Amino acid sequence: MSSRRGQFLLLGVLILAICLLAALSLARTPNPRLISSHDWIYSAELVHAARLGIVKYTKIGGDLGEHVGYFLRELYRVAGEEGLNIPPVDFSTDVSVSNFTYSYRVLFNNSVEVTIYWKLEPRGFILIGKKGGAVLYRVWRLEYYHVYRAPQWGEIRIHPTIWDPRGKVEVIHLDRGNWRVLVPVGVDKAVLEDEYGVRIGVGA
Amino acid sequence: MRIIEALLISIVLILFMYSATTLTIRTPMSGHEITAERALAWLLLRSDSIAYDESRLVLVIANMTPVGYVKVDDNVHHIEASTYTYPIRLIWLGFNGTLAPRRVEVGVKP
Repeated sequence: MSSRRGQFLLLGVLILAICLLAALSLARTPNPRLISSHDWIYSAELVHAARLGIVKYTKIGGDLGEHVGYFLRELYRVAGEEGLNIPPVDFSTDVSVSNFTYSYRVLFNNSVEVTIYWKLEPRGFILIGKKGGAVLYRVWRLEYYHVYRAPQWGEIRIHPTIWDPRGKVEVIHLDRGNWRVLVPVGVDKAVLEDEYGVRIGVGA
Repeated sequence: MRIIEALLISIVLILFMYSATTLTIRTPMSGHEITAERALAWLLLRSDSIAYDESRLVLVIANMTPVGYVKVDDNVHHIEASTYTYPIRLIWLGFNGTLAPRRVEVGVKP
């Protein structure tokens, strides 16, 4: 008899627990029951792959689309191994050069976009004394930035650090994205590099 | 009679377990997880090379958001003890235009 009472008690406790859980779920703020998708990470991965493609293009030339495609294929391969379901995307590229204004652009069909932009303005010449002599420099004002657009974050503009890997050109930071570049007269075109490895040509 | 009782108790027990798990597991992403995801996305946007300096990466992530562990390829760095973590996975494909994939998993604390 006592074991039967125990069973009823257990049944009662379980039914009460279910009722409490049901009441709790009703009391909660309604939320869409969706599988969590890491959209921010996925968009950032696309930007990362596109930027690497641009870096490779500025280093070895060729076709920007091919370089971006190569890194994208690798991204999907590794993501597949890791169980990351990055949605498939298509993309287009654009390289623009006009009147001292340059840009590299990668646009994905999910509205993720990477643009690397720089603009040069000639600012005359300057003579600087060095090691007992004097060096004549051509002065350029350089505006340089990256723009990353995505539906998740809107637009992010960053101003990477740049320098001359060969050490022949003086690169002076003015303020956000603005630089003064002093190129010794005799050097036709200086090649600077940003912190990601993107190469920027400075010169006429 | 006893078989029917056992069956009923089992059904009620299954119902209880189902409702308990749907409440705890099938919930949308926590605000904390979203915050961590944004911070990690920003890290990926901001630096191509950080994943190749493992100690720096772990230090930066541990200071950005509360994490239980950071796994870089096969090396697991335990940061704080936690009974439950949300795993967020990222891939650093390479740096300086070269391909050198590095897999990073961050166990975000709820």
